[in-house]
Amino acid sequence: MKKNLILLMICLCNVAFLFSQSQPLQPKQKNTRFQSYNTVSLLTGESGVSVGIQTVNGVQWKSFFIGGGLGFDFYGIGTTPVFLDLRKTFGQGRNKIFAYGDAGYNIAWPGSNSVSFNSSLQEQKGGFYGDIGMGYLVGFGKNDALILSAGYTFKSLSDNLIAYPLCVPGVVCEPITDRNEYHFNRISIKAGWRF
Amino acid sequence: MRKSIFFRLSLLILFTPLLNGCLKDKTLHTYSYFEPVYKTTAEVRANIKSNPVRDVLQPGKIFIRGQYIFLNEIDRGIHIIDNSNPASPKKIAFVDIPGNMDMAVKGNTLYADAYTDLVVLDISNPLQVGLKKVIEDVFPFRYYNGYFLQDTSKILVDWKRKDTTVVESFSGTGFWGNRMKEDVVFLSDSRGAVSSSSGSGSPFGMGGSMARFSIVQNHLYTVTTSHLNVFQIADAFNPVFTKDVSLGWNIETIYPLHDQLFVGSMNGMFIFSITNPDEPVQTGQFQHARSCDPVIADDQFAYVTLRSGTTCQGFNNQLDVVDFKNPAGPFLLKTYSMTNPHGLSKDGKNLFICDGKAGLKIYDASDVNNLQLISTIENIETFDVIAFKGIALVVAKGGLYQYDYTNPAKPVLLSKMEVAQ
Repeated sequence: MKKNLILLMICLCNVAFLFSQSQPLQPKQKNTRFQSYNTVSLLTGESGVSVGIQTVNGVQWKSFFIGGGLGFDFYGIGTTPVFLDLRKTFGQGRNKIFAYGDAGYNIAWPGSNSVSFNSSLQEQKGGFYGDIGMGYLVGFGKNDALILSAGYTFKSLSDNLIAYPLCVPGVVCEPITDRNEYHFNRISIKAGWRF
Repeated sequence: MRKSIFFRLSLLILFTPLLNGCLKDKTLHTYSYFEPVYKTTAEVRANIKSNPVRDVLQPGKIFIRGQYIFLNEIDRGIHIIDNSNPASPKKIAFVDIPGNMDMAVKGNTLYADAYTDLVVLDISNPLQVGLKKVIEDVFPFRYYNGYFLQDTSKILVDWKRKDTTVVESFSGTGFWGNRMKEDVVFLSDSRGAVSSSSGSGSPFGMGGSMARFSIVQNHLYTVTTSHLNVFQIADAFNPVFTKDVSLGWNIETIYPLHDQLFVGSMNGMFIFSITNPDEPVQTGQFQHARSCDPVIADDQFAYVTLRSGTTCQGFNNQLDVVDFKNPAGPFLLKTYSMTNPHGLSKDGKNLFICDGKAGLKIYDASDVNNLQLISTIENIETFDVIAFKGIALVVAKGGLYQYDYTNPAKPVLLSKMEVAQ
């Protein structure tokens, strides 16, 4: 899996490099400004295909962007990722390649993983959220752009479930706890609007 | 050039999902399971004797005989407790009997079940209990709820708890059969734990309303979930299996009174005449809603507790007083609401009811149409009680309690034998 991800990243970097070499120079713009990236994502992994939505808001400085993000991730067990987002664009034209990286915390939706015929949820904890990838900005209007990107995203969370009593005659007869740690690895394809 | 790059990038993005076959979701599942421990039949029988005392882990049914209390440790054996001073009971021995749930005593002979077998023990010296006889295959094979089938060539003597973490594919939430391995068990057991009281005098000892063994004179009566078994015990060490009577399903308890047997089932109470002790004959039946129902009786009335729960499946929590003056036509006289009643016992006019988490309740039963609550012992979760000569033995979640009820309005705790954690 790691090998394939590395190959993917090399390919994306290669495209970014080529693109950055080919851009004509643009008039100088302001050094910093507010920007908002709003995307809908297609999340695909071993457990199937699902969707997510995100909004990332922050400050653009030269070709760098830093912001905070919030979203809804419906893959596997529903969660709300809250994260820090870093981006770098390549090129000077209206259309640009960009690379991004997110890291943050994944908040599990209350009760979203308690469904079972023989257990009930005792405790639910979020976990790490991460996302890296590259994409393409198609500029339009004054400062707007359409976003198309692809990347790898990871999320984890855990829960403790109370099962119906485990009764072993002469040994024990009491509710027992099961612990699950979920790790989800997905490819994400995002499309959206930056303003 | 730019279009070419955009085209290449778009293709890359479009084909990226093909990589998802390389990505795996996983669940680290940490859980406990139990592995059975087996011994050979010879090893088990050699160990059915007085052994060093053990902690009480999961108390089951109780039986009083003279100064001794016999306390079942579910599926493991019997604690012998010297209760000559109820304020300070002392465990003096433990008899290993794998598969033991029930017992009865006549004189110096103790009868107990050991899975499918009936074992006969000489208890004339509680410190040197010895196995006298084994009657094989007189009780039903033990089935466990779940996916565990035991090795029938050996005897299951213990369980070892194991904790493990396994990597599983994500397959939705909860654990839908994650631990169903052939050699381990994860199950919900259908048997309630404990017992309460019957009223026959020495030398037969005293069992409880939740007992499945009962002795009347020279006969041992036992109930399985579907049958009433009769053993002749005139020769105490050589019981002879004489008869079994089919009773239908869901039989739970047996309680003797004079020449009658009261058999409790989840659906009702059966009255059997044992005028001919070898040939019990059903004389009457009282039906009620499906529920767990220990039963005791005095000369005119039977007291039946009905309780709800996963095992019992019912929804009623009540005490039914049944008039059986005419054994052929017992009828419901009065119903009293309870919390979650289990075993019960009666001594004179005092009626003791283990009402689950609501504690032990003592009623004045002088007028069965108007039971008066005298006192409640709270803060214990009670299962079974034997009230005898001013001392109430109570099996509760926390252990074995003894109360002096000389003044039933103010019962006094004499001792507590705690369950080991």
